[in-house]
Amino acid sequence: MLRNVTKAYGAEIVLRGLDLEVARGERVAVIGRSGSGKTTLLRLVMGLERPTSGDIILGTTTMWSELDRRGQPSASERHLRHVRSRIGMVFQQFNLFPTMTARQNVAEGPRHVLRLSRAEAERRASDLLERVGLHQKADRYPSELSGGEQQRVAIARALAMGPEVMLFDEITSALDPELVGEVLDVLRELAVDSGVTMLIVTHEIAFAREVADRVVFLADGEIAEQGPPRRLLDDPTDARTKAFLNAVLRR
Amino acid sequence: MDAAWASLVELLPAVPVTLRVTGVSAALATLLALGAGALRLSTHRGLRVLSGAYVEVFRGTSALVQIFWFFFVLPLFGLSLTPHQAGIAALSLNIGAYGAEVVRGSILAVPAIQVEAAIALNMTARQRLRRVVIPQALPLMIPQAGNLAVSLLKATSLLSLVTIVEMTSRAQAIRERTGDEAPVYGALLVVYFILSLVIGGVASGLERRASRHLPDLRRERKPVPMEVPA
Amino acid sequence: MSWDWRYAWEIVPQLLSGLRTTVMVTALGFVMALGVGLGWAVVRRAGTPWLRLPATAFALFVRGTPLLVQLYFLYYVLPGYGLTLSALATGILGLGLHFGAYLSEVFRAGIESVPRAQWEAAQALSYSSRRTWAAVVLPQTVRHVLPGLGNYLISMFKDSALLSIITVTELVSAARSASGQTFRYLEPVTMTGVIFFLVSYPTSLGVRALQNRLGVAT
Repeated sequence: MLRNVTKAYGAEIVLRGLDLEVARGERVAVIGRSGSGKTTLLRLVMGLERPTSGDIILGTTTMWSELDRRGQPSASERHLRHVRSRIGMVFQQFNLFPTMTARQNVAEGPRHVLRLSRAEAERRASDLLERVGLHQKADRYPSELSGGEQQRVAIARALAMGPEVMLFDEITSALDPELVGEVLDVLRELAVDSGVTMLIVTHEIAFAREVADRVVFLADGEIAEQGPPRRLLDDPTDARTKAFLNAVLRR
Repeated sequence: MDAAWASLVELLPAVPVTLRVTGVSAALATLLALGAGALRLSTHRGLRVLSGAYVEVFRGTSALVQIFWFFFVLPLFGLSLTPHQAGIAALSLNIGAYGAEVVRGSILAVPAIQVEAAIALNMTARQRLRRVVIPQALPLMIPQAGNLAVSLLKATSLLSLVTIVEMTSRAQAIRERTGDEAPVYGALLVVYFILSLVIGGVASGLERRASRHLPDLRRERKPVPMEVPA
Repeated sequence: MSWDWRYAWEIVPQLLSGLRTTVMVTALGFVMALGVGLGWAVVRRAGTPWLRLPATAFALFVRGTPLLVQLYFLYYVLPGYGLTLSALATGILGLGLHFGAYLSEVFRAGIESVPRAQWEAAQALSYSSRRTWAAVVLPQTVRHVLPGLGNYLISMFKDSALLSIITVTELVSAARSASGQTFRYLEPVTMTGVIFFLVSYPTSLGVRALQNRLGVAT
């Protein structure tokens, strides 16, 4: 079970006293305006940022297990890596390492971090690339792949580490419209097939409605509203949620 | 014109000396640049300050003064170096300082998101540096390193002032003998020019290889290389 | 070998007068380099192909050969052609030409950073070539060009040391004559280095600050 209890304050207060609990295997979509703190939320979960105060807990392990000299949450690099190994993240753009082929990108983590043998790492890479539908292009370099293909490889790469939790930071926002679908297909399949807990920050409302178990709407650094997709999206209670959805759906 | 050709031929024996000095200094300077450049980015404050001091001092003073210092002053501290050693040491430290800035700048120019993606994959800092950052910093470093190599070549001419017999001092000798300045210095300039073109060509080739699979988007962001004159 | 503070103090006036010459030479040389560099850049960009190629090649030549040898060339060869300049003038000429070649690169990059759309807008307004340059292009290059110019000014300041070789009485030659008189090298050479550092380091910090404020990469 993944419990994420966060009260986090950034430099300007980006997230205020935010509490979010996610159950194991749950699929949560996070929506909201830019600047509402969605990306910060994901980065905190991934350990890329430090909370000003509060706890981030994965299962039974606290991420920031110590306090530094100034009384702020802190942790040793080893501890962080230990926790991070259970989480995977896909970013909005320029994910892949440009000097390596798709296959090498996916195999990189397993080989050098998990220390699998080269054969095993490559086999895992092939399997995953096939799963995201890019087996034929395994030996291409990122500069030869379309944006959608690159993101799919990025998903494969994150999955290759065998995480319990996957974070997706607006992974379709930087793509040309016609490429979005193929990436969403992969996400949909993941949601159905694997038991991985997924935290998806997205603008794709229709997708969220279809795939998510729960939708969370962030505004002004806190959770304005959350609930099952059908209810929240069709019949929101909070004024901010209504305003946001109106603006988005009018498009 | 004949005099120019004659001078050119007479200069040739000195070319290997210049090349050797340039090569050795370049190798040392590269080591210094990589070391100091990496230290400048260290998390340890003391190391940062120390390498910063080295870089600023050697960039902030004239190469000629540094050469003089190594040649005239260092022996007074009991450290007796041959003229060659003193000259190479001074040049290496000088160009190494500029190189350190090139290394530092190139590493910083690698997009942060690449580093974060590597962190997300749980790579250690050393793994990140070796497998992700440096391969992407290299195409940025190479053209600037090429410029520094040409600067180094040109700076070897200063060594003629501290009794080292390289191309420029050889030209002086020829001039004193024949009393004819224009052809000698003209030929000397041409030789330096040809060598600098060769170095530039090598650097271009290396850069092309290193940036093979990088998106052109990255290459447009390449800063205008600052060339070190003299 | 120990540091003799009294001697160090004694030679300060001598060094400072040398420094004065250094500053003057640098200033004049830089002004010249600015003119040469700008003219060069314009020719390389807007001149006829007959001019453009040789100009670019010549700039490459000047940048690819040592300043010292160029100074020797000017100092010894020019008189043979009837142009007998003082050592000082030769030095300034040498610096101006050498750095002019580098500055032409800086200006070239600055000019190229002006978006094509600006050129086309001027064309649509039927501006003459001269007006386009003066009113549209050059003002926009200033931002991009300043940090590079600042850095080369500092370089020129340091390289002015080479002028001591062609008998210009600037800072380094002041140091050498001081040490020549007493055969003590430690203080003159070290203090010369310190003086160079004290001038160029703050200046380079200033250039860096300027760069940050202008938001331009070098």
